[in-house]
Amino acid sequence: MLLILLPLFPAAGAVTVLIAGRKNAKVRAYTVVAVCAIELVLVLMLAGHFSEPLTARIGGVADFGLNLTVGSFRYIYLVLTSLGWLLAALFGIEYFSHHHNLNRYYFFLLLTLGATMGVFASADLITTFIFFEIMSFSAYVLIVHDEKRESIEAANVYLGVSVISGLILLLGIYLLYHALGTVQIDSLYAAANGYANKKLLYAACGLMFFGFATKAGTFPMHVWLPKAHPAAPAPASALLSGIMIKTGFFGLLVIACEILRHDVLWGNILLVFGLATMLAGAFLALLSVDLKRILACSSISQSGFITTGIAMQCLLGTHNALAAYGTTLHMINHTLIKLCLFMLAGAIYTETHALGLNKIKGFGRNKTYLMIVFAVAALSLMGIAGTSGYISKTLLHESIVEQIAYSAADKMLWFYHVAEYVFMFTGGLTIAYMLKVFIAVFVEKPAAENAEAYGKKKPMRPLSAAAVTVPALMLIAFGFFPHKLCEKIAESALAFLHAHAAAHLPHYLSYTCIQGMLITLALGVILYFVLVRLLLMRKKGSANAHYVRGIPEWGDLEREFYRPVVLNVIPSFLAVFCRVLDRLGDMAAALAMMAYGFIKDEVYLTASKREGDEPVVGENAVLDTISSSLLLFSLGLLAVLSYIIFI
Amino acid sequence: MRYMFALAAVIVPIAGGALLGVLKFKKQIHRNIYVVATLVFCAAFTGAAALSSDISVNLLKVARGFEFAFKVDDLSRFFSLLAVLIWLIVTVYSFGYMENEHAQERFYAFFLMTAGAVQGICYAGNLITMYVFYEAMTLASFPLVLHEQSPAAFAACKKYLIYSFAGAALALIGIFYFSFISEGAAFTAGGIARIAQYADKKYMAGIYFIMILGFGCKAGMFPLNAWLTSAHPTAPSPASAVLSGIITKMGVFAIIRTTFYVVGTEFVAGSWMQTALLMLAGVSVLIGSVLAYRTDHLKKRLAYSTVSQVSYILLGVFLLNENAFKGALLHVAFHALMKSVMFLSAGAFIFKTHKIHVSEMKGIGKMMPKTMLFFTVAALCMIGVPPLGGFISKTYLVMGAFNFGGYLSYTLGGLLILSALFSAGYLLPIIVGGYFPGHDYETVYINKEPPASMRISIGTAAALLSIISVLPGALTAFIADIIIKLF
Repeated sequence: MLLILLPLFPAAGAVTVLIAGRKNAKVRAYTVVAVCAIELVLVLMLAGHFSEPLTARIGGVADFGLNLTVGSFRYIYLVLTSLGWLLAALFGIEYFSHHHNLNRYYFFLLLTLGATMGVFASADLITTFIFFEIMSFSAYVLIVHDEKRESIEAANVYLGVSVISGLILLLGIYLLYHALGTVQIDSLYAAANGYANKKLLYAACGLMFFGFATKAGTFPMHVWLPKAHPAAPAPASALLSGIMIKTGFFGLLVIACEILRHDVLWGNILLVFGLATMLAGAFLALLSVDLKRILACSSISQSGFITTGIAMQCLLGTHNALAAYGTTLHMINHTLIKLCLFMLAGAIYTETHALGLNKIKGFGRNKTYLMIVFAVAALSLMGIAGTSGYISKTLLHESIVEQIAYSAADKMLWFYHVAEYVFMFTGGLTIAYMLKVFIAVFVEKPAAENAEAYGKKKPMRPLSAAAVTVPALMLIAFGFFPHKLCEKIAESALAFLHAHAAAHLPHYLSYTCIQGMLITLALGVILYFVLVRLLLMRKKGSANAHYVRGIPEWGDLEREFYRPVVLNVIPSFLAVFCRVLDRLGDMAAALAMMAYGFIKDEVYLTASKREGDEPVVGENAVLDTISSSLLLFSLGLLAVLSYIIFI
Repeated sequence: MRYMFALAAVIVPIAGGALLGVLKFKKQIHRNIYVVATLVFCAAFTGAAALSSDISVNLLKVARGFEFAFKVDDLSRFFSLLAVLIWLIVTVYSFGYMENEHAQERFYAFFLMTAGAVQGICYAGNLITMYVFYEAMTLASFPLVLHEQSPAAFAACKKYLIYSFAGAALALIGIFYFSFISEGAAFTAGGIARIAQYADKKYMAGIYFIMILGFGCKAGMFPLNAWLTSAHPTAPSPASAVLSGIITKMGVFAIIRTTFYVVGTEFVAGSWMQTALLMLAGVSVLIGSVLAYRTDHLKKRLAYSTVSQVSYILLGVFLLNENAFKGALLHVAFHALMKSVMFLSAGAFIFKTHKIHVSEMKGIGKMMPKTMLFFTVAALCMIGVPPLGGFISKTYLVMGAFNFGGYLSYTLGGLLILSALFSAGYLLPIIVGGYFPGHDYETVYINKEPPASMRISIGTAAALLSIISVLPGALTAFIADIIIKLF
């Protein structure tokens, strides 16, 4: 019963909020917080099922029914999701004090909460898909919230990508169901293991991978992410980056740990995507000059780290404990870090109404609390010793090292060496782009026109400060007590990942681990000075030194390549074919009428013009008459003939 | 005498429509009450026929093998109830929409008669009877297309008639043939035994194929699809709604009757006819969705979408397996409702703003938020966003396609998804542009919601759609009853 409430209660809350919003804006904001808080309490009441799974079914919905379950990894993310929403709602009270259309925003915020809870609690893939789609579509409204031209543009990209990836995911799930006869997540392994037609299985998994990986921001499907995440209001960006990306990983984990458990080929494919993603994201982050965009690109890069972790789970087979620990912890860390950082970006935005580094430069110089919280999250993202990010990155690194050790005789050995180098190098890039942000916001002097405004000591407003403090405190706690907190949490996730408990975990303060971190740190600092200070700044040293965008105008993969291809090239190509076929009946009819001497009837011949217009019998009449149809027909015939002849 | 209910459900609207030509009403409202009352009677009789047990009755024997027969079974219950439901909703809507139109008496007279003819098709007991009502439906519905009497309407109407008669003529070959060899071709679940035993399968295959092409015309199946995209957008919106929502389904109904109740699935399954028909339906799916994406005229876009969506249903029928058939029948119900909602709301947009192209409709969601909401529900349902209905029917259809086996099955499954993608491509921009035109369009948004009768009827249809699609238990149980007798 309690489990059923997890997705349904926020939906009911959404309706309540819509009603409350008609009366009073304050009541509405607190209702939202209350709904999220109750949701968190509901999840915590299920704590008993952390290790022993509980299942529930909402029969009849959408004919297939919704199957839910809780426990292990799912439980961790149910807690984090409801916590994230609670923080975002708290933060929103002050952030949104002067916004419009909040009824709509809060309605969809809570709907998204229910759907996200549903994804993490889903016991079969159809249920996952149902909630996944509801989440994707309701998040659209969050992104488009301020209805500015850029937001609408970004949201439309998001919507298009979501629809495409969603439908491809669906096709994958159908294929899987067709192949295995089940989509129940915990019975997938048994079914897939004995299944002979591996090709079909890989096809299904490939399609599902496309769907989930797009949500997870994997390169080259990442294009929507740097647009959509910054366009949303800050609390929504925090949720998009911190939590909703993880629904993609939920799916990727199901593929890698259930369907294709310990599949080496799949592991190698994932590793390619993981490395490409972490590198691409980090470069994009380094080259950007907009705070939220940098954070969004950083999310892409961190997604690459997590994907690499999942790849290592596949590759290491039964010895994958380190990879499993690392993946889980890195996901949790990234959630907390991005919740914190995006909300801080929101706090900066409320004061400055800008996000460009050149505009907000020096804003944080005398704001100690802001700086401390930011530093905690940033250091954790960089993976500096003493933070939780250090723990998860070390674990991931160790798993690559382990893979290198195991595959000494493998011909793929070089690839794992490359993986390690890319891993370290990206770590360096991470440090470089976070340094860039930190130095710009907290160290450099503000531009002359902002100096006075930024000089004022203005502490963060209380609720916002509370909202950003919670994840920061959790990060500190995780960093200081790796054995008591991190490892315990990661261990509880192992049941879902089907990994054995680790026989030995690395000593986080051992020489080898620290050495890796130091190399990365040194690399990062060098990269920062070489790339950022030397190449990406103009008028260095002078008072109006500023950062420049490193990405040229034509470098927008989405705008310059995907959009024209998907929206124009392919449809035009198909349309020619379809137009010819569509006119086939008309042409036959016209020919028949000609035979019967009806040729004088101009009205009929122009009927295929746009309906509702007066029929044109004049200069343009040729275009839509029988002759154009004949022309099209002959062209089609020509195409068919040439196809037959040449192929 | 239980067949009287079915007979009455056919006769009441036809007679009511015919009387409308004679009766003179002083006030519009009296006429409206008369029209609704006729349809309510029709609905009551349909309901009564649906509640009584299965009936097969010969009313009149014209000659040997030419009988006038009625049959009430689950399939006819399903289609007749759906038809009368849509008709009631659309009628209530039309009172607002048609208020200032010319020749309203003519419109309503033929509108009612069409309803009667549709009921007749549903309750027909053999091919000949069905053919009679099928032609009656064409004849009764063409004045609806003609309504505007503009040159474009004349052209579209002519096209409609030519195609319909061509289609009916193709079907007629088979109707005579099958009536001849089975002495009356009375519908029997699973196929008529005499036809199954008939020796000359080669001819039969060709004739069956031609017959399906002919019936496919009403359903907008390639190659006889071109009339649909001229006639549906030209008719006034209430007529477009029933044309797309129900009349196309009569083509599907006739195909189901022929395939499952006359020739039997064993004859078709695995033959060249099945492959060819699947391909034709697949091509129609593609044509409809691609061209809808490339069309700016809103109603024409919806008409193209009908081509593709009804071909989904045909695909489900031709696959000849349980999953696909379940998906097809579910999609019949969902598509009837969602396409009605779409045409009715498109009508509301046109009624209030006089804009007919999608590109002019930016910001319409700000002016007519409620109507746009209904449209959105229907559109999301059509794209197949879970948990709405399109998702459910599509799931069964794709499953059915995969069950078919071979490469064609994967192609068809992929095609269905591709078409869903295109439907997102042609529907979402309407919604997105409607609700979020951007600040460039920040003109004064006046409230332009249509009159109550229109709003209520669209809303009812949209609400019904969301209820039966989120909780389709009753519907699937009903469909399961039909399927049990056929497979």
